[in-house]
Amino acid sequence: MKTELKWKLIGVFAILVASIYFVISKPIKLGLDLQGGMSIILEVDVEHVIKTQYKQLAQDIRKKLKENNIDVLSLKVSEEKLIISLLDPTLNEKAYKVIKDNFPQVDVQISDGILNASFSQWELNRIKKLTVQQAVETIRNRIDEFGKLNANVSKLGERRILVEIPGVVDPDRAKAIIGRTAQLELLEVVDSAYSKEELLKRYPEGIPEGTKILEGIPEEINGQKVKEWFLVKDTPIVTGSQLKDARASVDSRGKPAVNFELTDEGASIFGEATAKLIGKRIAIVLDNKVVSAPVVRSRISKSGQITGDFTPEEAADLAVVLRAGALPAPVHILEERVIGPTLGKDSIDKTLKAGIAALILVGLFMIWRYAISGFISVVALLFNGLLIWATIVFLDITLTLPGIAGIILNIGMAVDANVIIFERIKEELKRGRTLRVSVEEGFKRAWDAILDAQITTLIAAFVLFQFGTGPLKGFAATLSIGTVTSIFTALFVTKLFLDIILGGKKSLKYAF
Amino acid sequence: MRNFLDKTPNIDFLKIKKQGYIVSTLLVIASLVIIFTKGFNLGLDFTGGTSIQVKFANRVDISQIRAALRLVNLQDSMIQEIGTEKVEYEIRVSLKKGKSSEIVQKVKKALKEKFGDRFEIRKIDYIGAVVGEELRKASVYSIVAVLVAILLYVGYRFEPVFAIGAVIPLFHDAIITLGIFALIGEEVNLAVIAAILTVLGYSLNDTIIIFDRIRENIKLRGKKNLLQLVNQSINENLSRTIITSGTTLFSVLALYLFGGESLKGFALALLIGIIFGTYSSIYVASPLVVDLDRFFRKKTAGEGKTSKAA
Repeated sequence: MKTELKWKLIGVFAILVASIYFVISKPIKLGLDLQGGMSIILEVDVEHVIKTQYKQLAQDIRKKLKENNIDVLSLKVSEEKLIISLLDPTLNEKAYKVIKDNFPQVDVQISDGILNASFSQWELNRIKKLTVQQAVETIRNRIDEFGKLNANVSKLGERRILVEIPGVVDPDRAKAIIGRTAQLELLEVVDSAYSKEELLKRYPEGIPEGTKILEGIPEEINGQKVKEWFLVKDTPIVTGSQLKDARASVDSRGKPAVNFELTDEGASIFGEATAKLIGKRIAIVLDNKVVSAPVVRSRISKSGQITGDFTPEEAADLAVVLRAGALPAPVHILEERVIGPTLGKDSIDKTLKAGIAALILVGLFMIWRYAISGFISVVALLFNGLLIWATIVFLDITLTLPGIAGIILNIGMAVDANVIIFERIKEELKRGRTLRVSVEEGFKRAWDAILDAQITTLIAAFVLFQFGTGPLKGFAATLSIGTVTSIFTALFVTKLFLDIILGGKKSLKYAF
Repeated sequence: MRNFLDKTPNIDFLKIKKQGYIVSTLLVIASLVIIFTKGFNLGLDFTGGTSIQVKFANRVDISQIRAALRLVNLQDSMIQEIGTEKVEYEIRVSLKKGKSSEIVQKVKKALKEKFGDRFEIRKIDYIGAVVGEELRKASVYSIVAVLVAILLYVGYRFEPVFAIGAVIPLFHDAIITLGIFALIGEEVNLAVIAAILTVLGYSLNDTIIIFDRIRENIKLRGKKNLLQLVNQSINENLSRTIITSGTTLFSVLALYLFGGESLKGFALALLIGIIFGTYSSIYVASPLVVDLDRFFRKKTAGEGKTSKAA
């Protein structure tokens, strides 16, 4: 054998060994459609966060202006800006300067004697990005708390989150844990009544500025179900972000409850506020519903208790979501897929069967048509399969059902390159050229056609990868990998084996 | 026997190019008419809604499932059999019927009441309206993007005439595949779109190999009698075309027959696409190159004359 061939053979052998090593070193990562599990796509309601940020900003601006002896007549919060009018409009310029100096993230304008303040584009983008990031982290924490450590939580585009939990899951409980905002707020109660109408009747001119109406959770009093409605101050005294810990417990009546503890900062604010509110009620609000509204007996600082109509399991789940942190914004479920484990197993079995059938059919055909060379191309095909498998493992690509389909399609298409070459060689042989020359010519001439053909397939696969979601990406990935590896096996590996077998022979029976 | 393909045939493919054009045009028009009148059976991916796949322990009729769903007022949901053994079904509920978690609970409750524990929920899919709309858009964009990318690549590698000749058949293949799906009411979902994109790549692949031979023959003999050259090129490549289409069809057929229900639509789209892709390379792409070339050459020759006269 020529030295050049020897080196090539060693190279191919090395790739073979490396591929086998990858294949046995790590199991292939199976997509949820193959192993069963749940996947959810959530959208983060960033507008909601911006609205709350505006409320907070309104409070801060009011405070700052007061410090500078500027009295505010009204401060309206709208979806995308604050509208501030002052008691003394001549102070507009001064107020403008105060806001400009103290709130660099805000754009201020004076028009018609009214100040408009809005977040700068940069700040808005920052808020959005941070919100989604925080949401991802919070959801990850929550799932970790539940011991589902192999779950995947990742950002999807600008404001979406993909959650994938492999294995058997209770979809409803999972959704409750993932999707619950768990926004805890402690708010001062202004007024309350046992129906909304009754409450509204007391304010014929509309509810006071800076307050809102919240619904309580139904309770059983003397055998009757009643629901209390609350008029509460708009801005919370403290929120869940000032929460240090939350644990499931029981209340004084022995019913499930959740005890929480505030951070030092939260505790000092809460202490100060409750000192002023003795004899009044504080609403404990979870996701915009009043779960309880105890009367303040004395200054409270560090801890509190949430009671409600919980089952022990619900109390435990609530403690988990509070401990893992509130979602910075509500999330909406856009897409949800749950795949049972038996379906995944069935799918693998069936596609495997299809793959083997395809391989046998194509293999037999190639040997029938091209004899020895056909056999070589089947070996190359198997080698190609091994390479695809190794690449999937090496690049850590998740194998999906369409992904397997991509590999099977590849079995048919991969021999294409060999067919083009072999047909070409046969043509050359027919023209009376020797075996050696024909083989060389065949490979040389087929090169352009093969390259163009494979590149166009790659283009289609690449576009699919860009636009496709989940499983389709898997198809595009295996198709691309297969296209690239098949160029190598069809052109290089087959040529090498042919060269070795043909050696210096002028002709060989059953070569083609 | 195995050598029957060895003889280079001498078939005048382009003799019937007019008939080819007519057949193709009719097929495309018919497909478009069916698509616009009958519409697609769009999958959950595009419409949104909740789909629940249930497998029963023994044979169950659709009417029994419908009766069970009447208990929870979901009897007008779409119920589709999966496979042919009457044990597995897909129940699809539209978005209008309410929240997905409630629907799943309702369906579970109804089935439990009627069938006890003799069923298993295999799969639940929920797609919101926004996602469905987006996926619809993304599918159209991706098909357009593939066509443009291919147009550019072929234009760069060959001549502009070839680029046009390569891309028009792609529209032809995609439209006919979709038309057949509309005709037989087979579900069009994301996997089918993926299959169509693959078919575009495949069909072009086929076309390009013939083009490559045409280009080679032009280099050898010049462009003088393009029609003959094209005919010769198709003939020289015929064995390859038959074999490659054959092996790919084998694989896809195996996928269609053994690959299970979830890949059936996908494999069907590939199957149709490969058949029409092979046909269009010979009867649409190749004659187009000849005719377009003649058209442009006449035009430039005509312009040459007028400029001379001026």
